[in-house]
Amino acid sequence: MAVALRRFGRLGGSCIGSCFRGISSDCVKPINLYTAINQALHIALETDPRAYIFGEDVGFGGVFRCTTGLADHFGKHRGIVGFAVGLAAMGNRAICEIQFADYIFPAFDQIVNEAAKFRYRSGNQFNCGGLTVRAPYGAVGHGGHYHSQSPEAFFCHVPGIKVVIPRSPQQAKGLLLSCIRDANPTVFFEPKWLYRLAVEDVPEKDYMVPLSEAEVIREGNDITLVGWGAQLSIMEQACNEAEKDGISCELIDLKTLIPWDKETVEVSVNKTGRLLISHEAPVTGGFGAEISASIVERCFLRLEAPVCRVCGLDTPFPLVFESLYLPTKNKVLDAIKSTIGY
Amino acid sequence: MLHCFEIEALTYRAGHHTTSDESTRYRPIEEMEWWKTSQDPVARFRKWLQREGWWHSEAEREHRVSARQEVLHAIQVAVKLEKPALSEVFIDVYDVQPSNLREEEMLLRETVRRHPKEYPGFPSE
Repeated sequence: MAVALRRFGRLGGSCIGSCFRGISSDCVKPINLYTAINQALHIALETDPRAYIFGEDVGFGGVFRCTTGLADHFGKHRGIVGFAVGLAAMGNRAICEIQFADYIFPAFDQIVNEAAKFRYRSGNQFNCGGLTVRAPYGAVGHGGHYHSQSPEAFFCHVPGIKVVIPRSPQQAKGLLLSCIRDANPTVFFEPKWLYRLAVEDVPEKDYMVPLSEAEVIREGNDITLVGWGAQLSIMEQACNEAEKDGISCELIDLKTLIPWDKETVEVSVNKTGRLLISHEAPVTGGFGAEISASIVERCFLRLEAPVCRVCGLDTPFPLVFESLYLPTKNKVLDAIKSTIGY
Repeated sequence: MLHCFEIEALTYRAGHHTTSDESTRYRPIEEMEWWKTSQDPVARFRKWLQREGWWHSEAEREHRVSARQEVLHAIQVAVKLEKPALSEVFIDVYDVQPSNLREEEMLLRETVRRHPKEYPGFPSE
């Protein structure tokens, strides 16, 4: 666990310069992911009188404590996605929480057929841009079928919404504020594995991390790796091991999955000639497939090897078999080596 | 002749939702206590059995001790069991296993063969 904490310190440190646009020595405090999200929500409520937060149990802080203290400070509110769409359509900032991403599917119709099409179907007369749906996603060690899912691929297939996934506390606060303030409905998946585990220095002030901008968090020359959320930490470990074998890896955090930053990935693959994508969600139809197809279109003649995907298995997320199911460091490392050796 | 019965059962969750929940944050403790003490159907059934003379405190005490021992023993047995075979990961997704899952099983077996220490407890077959 200590290793994971140090790792996140490093990841955070590498991007502070690029994110803060010249303001380098502000007040920062080492905090974990759910505290960073709590801060972002606090700021959102403070800076916009038309912001509302709701979801199951958010009143007392929620099962992950992301909404702790907000009701005491700002007053209470109830309701979920359909209500949020209506609220956002009237010009408010509706920030709703789905307690686990596994339970977001009853709201899928509201997100796909209402939120995503609001602006388009009204010829821009109306929009529900003020909508943000937050949900914890991903493996947590013991979540089984219904507390571990990564459903981002379903949402990436919906023109009209944005899908954003932070890798760390400092990124989460800035990305969440960007989602809340973005003029389009956004779905924000938070890696629950990292709620308490990841701790890094996070500025206490109001700041935003831009959407649809991927970030090269580790530079390299031999192979490009693309990922998001908690998986980046696993990929970073694989990159460190690969480096011992003389393989120089470039690691990119996509951050926004739709609309995604193809240019950054393209520039990187044109440099390295190899691409590996890794996500917890099942490989078939996962978002890695879209990245692979797009990059092959753009970089075909430059590629030295097939684009590789190291992902979850095509089964429901298992309980006792979790360690076999996930794209572990060893699977990623083996894939790096076989891609290099192609 | 068929008789139909309908049972409508109201339930109340007297305890916390999970070990990380503190439900007094959203409901009064008096409400929880009332349900636990005067409404618990198991307690009411025990009292009824005792009134009928079919159960008594000594039997209660003995039963609790032996039930606890049974559960602890079952846990000890279960903990020593080997994890299910790796092939179990890939069955029952569909009625018949499709080819992509056969491929993934082969890849997983190769991974486990190469990194056995990373996957302790799973039979190597």
